[in-house]
Amino acid sequence: MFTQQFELCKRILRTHFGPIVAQVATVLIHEGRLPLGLLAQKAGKTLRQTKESVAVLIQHGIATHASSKEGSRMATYYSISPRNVLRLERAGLYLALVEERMGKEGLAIFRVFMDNGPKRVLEFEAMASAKQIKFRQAVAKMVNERYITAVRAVDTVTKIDRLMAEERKELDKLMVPPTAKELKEIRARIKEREDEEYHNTAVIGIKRKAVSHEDSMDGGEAPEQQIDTVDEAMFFRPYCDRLDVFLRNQQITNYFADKYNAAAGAVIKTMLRLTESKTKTCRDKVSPTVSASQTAKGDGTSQGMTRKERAEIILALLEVLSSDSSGIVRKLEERGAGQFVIDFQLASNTLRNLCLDALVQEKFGALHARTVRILRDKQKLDEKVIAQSVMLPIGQCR
Amino acid sequence: MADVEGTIYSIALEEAQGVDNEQLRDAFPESVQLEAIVNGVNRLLQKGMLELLQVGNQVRYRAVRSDELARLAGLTTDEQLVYKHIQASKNEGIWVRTLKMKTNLLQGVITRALKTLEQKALIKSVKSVKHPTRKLYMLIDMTPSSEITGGPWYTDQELDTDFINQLAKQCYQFIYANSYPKHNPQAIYPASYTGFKTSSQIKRFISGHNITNVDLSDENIEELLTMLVYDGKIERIAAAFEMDAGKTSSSGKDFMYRALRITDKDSPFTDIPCGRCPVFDKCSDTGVITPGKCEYFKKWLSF
Repeated sequence: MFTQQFELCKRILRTHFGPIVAQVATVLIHEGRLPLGLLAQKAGKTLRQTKESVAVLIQHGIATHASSKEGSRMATYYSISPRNVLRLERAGLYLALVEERMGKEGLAIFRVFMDNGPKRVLEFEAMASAKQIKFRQAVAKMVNERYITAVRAVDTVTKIDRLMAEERKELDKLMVPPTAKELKEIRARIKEREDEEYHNTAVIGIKRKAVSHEDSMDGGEAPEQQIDTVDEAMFFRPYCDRLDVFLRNQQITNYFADKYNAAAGAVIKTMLRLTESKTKTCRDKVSPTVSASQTAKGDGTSQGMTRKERAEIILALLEVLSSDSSGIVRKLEERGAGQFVIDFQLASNTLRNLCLDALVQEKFGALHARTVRILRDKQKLDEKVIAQSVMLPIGQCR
Repeated sequence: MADVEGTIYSIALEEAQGVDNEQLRDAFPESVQLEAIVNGVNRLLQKGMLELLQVGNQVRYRAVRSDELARLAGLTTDEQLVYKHIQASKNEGIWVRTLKMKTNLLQGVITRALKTLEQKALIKSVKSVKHPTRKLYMLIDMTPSSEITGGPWYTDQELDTDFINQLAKQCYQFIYANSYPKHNPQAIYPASYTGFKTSSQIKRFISGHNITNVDLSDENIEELLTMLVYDGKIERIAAAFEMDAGKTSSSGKDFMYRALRITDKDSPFTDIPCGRCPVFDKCSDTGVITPGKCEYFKKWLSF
């Protein structure tokens, strides 16, 4: 980890949780996995303070724990993910995003989760007493759309330890030590299970409830309707991975709107919105396929146009986007008006490079930005070749 | 006898690559003896009117033109040898050390010969942009090759950045003007549009509008456009056949160039002073450079 990154984590933790928790967390970031006793000793805090700090960090999803058998006793180790610490800085963006998409109720609910970490719906009763039905509906909607997600016991266990425990369990089933082939098979099975779990579209923490309307229009038997209710026993937490998808999508939209025009931005926004429900996290490399006609139907910005005109314009814009040098939008096949996908990996590379270029340009100037772009494109170059390519005197280039 | 010499000289003068013994013998009737021809050749060689060339195993005689003869009159043999090698180097020039190696003359002799030749305004010295410390010699009427001068981008062996920037600006403006519809600059051309400008069209624009007197080659324009691509101002979009002029570039196809809209958005990283701080790496909680004592922050926070 870079010194600056470490310093930033330290300051973020201090701002959010105060000096004691920050001190304990800093030691964990600096030293890596530690048991409680050693952590307290290195942080210079009492055992009680350390325990409480770790509890706070686990509650907010920053620290994880893992137990392993050491001789006759079970030792518990704690570790921190710096990525989750840095993510705390996005709190404002998350809140603005939730308010924009979920309204004031959504914002109020999300704020409680952000402030307190995982909570059960019952714990909201006091604040939601006045508008209980509206509140519960908002929570259910947020769970359904995965702005918040149910917390399971395994979520606080370090991922690598969880996988190792599963592997150990599989190995215990064997009578003799495994061969290399068997071990490979076991690992493949575990990975397959992980992938299956990742791609599982079922929403945890939601119950379907049948409701009948007592006063139907014709006075006959009222039709039954199913509504979603939240499982009261479940704990929920903000699902930041999902919110990062929305923020990333916003950046992709801005990229195309800046590069081409607002219409191109609107088209890519529509495409991303159509894929949002099937995109789980930013780890997805490619979006699900979107057809040109789906995009044309989903686009609500082109008012005052006939359906045919709108479809033609959107198809033309999609062709422009798919011929863009970044390669973010790819045309998969010509069937119908065309099937398109968005390459998220290329998009993240492009956005990262743009960010770096802007930073170099503003901090050092256009000539430095040019040099950085050439080196990124060609990888390794002799200084004479760099000077020739960037058209600079060799002394200045050096 | 003088007739024989005159005939040999005129025959040799007609052939740029020189003549061999057989050609000379065939040029004279049987009545002229071989000895007379040999004596004539020897006398011409002594006078410096003929020079010997070896092509494979064959010896050929090349006539020295009268103007060249007049130029070399009064030069010593060493000076003439040095002159010949400098002449052979053409517009590439020759380095003193190479000259020494080729002529097998002593350094002092070469230095003296070069000084005399320079005094007589027969040769000149030029500096190479590739090797600025080396002095290259070439004939006075030769124009140094672009390898030595660095091409159109160099003025007095220095990279002319002002000229490059001016030319790049003109290219960008021309590309930008043709990248978006004039009646609605916010609109964009469809993906099938082939009206974006190619490097050869840009070259024609530069030469047609007398933007510069310097003769620019296709490669020079490509260099300039590559620089603009790396500046993030334009992008290469697709390979297209050059249809308008009915000809293609050397590779058979030409890239088209589209200008990118440059937004003036500030990066959030550089908006705060830390993003642009020159002593960011030295900043810490303690010591001389701390956020508490930061001059940049004071200025930034004073609005």
